Amino acid sequence: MKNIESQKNKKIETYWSIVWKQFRKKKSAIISVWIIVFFFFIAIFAPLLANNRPLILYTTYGEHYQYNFESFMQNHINYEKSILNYKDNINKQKITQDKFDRFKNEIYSLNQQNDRLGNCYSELNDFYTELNNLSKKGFGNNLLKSSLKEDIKSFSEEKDRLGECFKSINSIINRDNKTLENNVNIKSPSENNIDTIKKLESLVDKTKKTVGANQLTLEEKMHKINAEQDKVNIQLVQLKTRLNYKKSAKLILESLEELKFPVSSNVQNEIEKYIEKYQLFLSKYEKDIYSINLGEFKAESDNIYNEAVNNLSYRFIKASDYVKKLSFPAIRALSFLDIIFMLTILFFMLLPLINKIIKQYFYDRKRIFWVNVLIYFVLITVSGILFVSIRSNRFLPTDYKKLLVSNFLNPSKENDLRVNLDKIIDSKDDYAIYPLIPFGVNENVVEEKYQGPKSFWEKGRHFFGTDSTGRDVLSRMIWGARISLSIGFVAVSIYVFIGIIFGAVAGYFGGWVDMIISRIIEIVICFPSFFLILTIIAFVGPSIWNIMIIIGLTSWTGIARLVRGEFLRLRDQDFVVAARSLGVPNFKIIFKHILPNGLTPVLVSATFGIASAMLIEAGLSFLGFGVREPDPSWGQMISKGQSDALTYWWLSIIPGLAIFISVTVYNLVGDALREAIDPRLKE
Amino acid sequence: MIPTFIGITVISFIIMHLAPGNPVDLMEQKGGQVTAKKEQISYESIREFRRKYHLDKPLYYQYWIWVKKAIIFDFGDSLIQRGRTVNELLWEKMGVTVVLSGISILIIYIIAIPIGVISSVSENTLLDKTITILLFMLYSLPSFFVAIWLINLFASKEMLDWFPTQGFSLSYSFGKFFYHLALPIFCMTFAGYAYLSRQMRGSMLEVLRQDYIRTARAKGLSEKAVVIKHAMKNSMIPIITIASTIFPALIGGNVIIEIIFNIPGLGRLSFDAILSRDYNVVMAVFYLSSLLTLVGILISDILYVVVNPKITFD
Repeated sequence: MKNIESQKNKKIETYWSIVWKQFRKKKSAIISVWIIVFFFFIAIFAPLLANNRPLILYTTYGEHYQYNFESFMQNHINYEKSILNYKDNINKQKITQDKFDRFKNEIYSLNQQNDRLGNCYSELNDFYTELNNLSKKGFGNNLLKSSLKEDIKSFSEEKDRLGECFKSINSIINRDNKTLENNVNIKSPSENNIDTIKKLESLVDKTKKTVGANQLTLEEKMHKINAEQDKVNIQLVQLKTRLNYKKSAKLILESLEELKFPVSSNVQNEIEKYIEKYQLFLSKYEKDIYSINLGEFKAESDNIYNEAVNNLSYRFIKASDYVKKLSFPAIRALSFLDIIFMLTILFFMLLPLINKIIKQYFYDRKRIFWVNVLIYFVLITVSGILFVSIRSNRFLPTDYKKLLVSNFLNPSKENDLRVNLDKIIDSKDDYAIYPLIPFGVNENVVEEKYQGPKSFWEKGRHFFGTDSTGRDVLSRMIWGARISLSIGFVAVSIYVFIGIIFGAVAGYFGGWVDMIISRIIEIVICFPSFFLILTIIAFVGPSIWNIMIIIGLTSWTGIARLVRGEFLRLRDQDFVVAARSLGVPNFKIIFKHILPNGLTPVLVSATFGIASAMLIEAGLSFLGFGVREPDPSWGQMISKGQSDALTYWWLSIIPGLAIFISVTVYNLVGDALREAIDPRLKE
Repeated sequence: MIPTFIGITVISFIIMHLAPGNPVDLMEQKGGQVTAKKEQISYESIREFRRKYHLDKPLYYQYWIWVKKAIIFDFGDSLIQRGRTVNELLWEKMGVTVVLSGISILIIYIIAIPIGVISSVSENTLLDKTITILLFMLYSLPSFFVAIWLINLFASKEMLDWFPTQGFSLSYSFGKFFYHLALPIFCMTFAGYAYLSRQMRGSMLEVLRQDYIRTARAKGLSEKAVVIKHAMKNSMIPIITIASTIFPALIGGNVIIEIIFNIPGLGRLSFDAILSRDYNVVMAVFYLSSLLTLVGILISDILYVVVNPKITFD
């Protein structure tokens, strides 16, 4: 008993506790860790922090019924169409795809033209200053004469390259040329001369304006094409969904199921009947789409559809049939991963409490650790299963701000304009509690575009302003944190994993295995990494997963070299030789005996790696190879906000600051870790 | 060296050819599109194009043809810019990028080494800590973000119109050269200070703990002499070798800066080539830049031996 007591009170100094002690000495590192935790907290709880769905809602859902009924009708029509026009749609999709690609090309060529114009513009600028200088000195000097001639020549050459765009400019320049050459022949400056110089200056000014105007028209053209491309893209997506008739069949059932939510039980029974009917009908035509008798299908589907519409339409539902209900739309829309991460955070917050309880029953450190892990997994599985079984598959798709406006947190008058006035039942004791930032990621109100940042007390409450389409920047920042932070984390996990395996194998076995792996590492190191990533992304297609995987696949070499070095150092040490002579299998020696001893430099390198992966993601997004709209990421937000950065400064400054802070913080932690584990730097 | 070289050629070839979408596809699309010259590309000419650039042959055969020529630095014609060879394009742009990277590295070294020395001499003081944090802040700024704001603040009509926003050529006169390069070079260098000066600080600290430094101090040498004459010389060894790794990183990292400032360099060229699937150009850029790195590693190995006579080549 006494023995156990003493063990309990004694603090055992492990390697990690020493590292932690060293690490804790740096205040900047500790602050950084807290900032990282804060960022992750925000990212994980994003759906509950910034959402246009209320956390709690108590009301009647007449509009919800209406919406779902309309979507049911639409789904049925889509389903019917997709079966009837299956072959046509396939052709149409091909044509639209071609159109889309063509727009892409056009934009590219316009971009190039634009750049060339930009070059020309700067050339013109230089020409202008040169001319200024000349006008000050006069045209007498022979040297100046020749340089001026050269300039004119190179300038007109530049013009030639631009072809049609420059016809107008060319004519002016040609006139310029003649007058200039005339002037060059005059030996000394005179008053008469200065007059012509002034004329020339005005001419150059004119050309400058035309170049600028041309650039503007080009940019306008590009914007137009961009818009058209977006339209075609939407068409493409619609076509794709239309082709997928099985999905639309599923959607019909889902929207019918959703109809049951806001009504009383006798209407629910009615709906249940139709669900069964539909299930029968849909299963009949599920199999081979080419062997369906289209006439028969059409008749039957029209029949069932008309019957359902006649009996279930919201026009025939009495007001008394709607029931007031409590719902949790924001929580209902959570995904499975969201729940797991949130529970993880909660678990870590409760960890001290849990440990206090466990320590009453267990004394062994190892056992306490495993009990913790067990509790964590039990917690996650149980609450995950509970959660998934309780919530329905689909969240309410209605606009909640239309559904109910009188709420505690957002009572502003502007928003009242968005109320649907045809509400069925008066909302005296209805209420909604919105998240702290009651705006969705892609909730755009065009009338509210380009609003500057506002303080906490002002109406409208866009704390960080809105962007070009009226989306709330703060909400997008919070949701973008998910992507920006997870890219660093996942990419680094991937390449640490690869690097450890390659490095361990090379370092442990040595010989020809080592030689081959070292050569591979050398080859990969030789490629300029950002450029390699950019190329592959450009070919594979930009998406968040591709970016993570490709950063992971291309930057493992640093880790592999580190681990290899550690293994070379450790593999002949006594404890390894002992393990080997005991007959422990190689696999176990590598991962259980050597790896934990060589893991600290990897940790340091990984921390720096997260920072640089975030920067790479931001750069890729900036070049247009990152996360695609409408999903937000910080880098992409900067690139969207760069066009008018001075007037709408918040659009680029805020995401820029966010990237800057998070990368700095990771770097500071990495640096502190490096110093904590560095034996050289200890006294 | 030789297997590495083969690996480099294989990878730069494979990356380009596994990509979906090739120049012929792009041409076919262009055929339907109203181009500037309104030329319709016929089916015949596409087949001709395929045959001319061996796009109809199996991959290994294409690789063999490419490698045979790549060894003597002949990369063929550009697939997109008609009538120009890749070599022409490359040499045109290579100079700009090499000059830019060279100047940047020079500036990074000139600024970072003194910073590293200062922070190592005043280890763990307030000065050292502020320098560390400041450098990390610089290191963490996304370069494109800085570039955008520099342009907005120092090269726009509304704010200070000090610098030009774009355009650059090697044929510029000296003053104009730096007038055009000031902003891009700033953007390319500010992140590098942290890395190099931290390395310098680390190796200085290591050297300062050595016995011979204590001896030098015991001799009564001034602190200045100890640091500059004895410690700095020896701690320069790892710093010199880093240059070989910084250089390729700069070439890759230049892409964004070259695009923003519209500098006609290698990064810009290759970015355009990637977008238009110009196989030959992209392969050549990959091949050349990785060869440069390989040579850089070799040189740094040699330098290592030259600087430190204790190490031999074995």
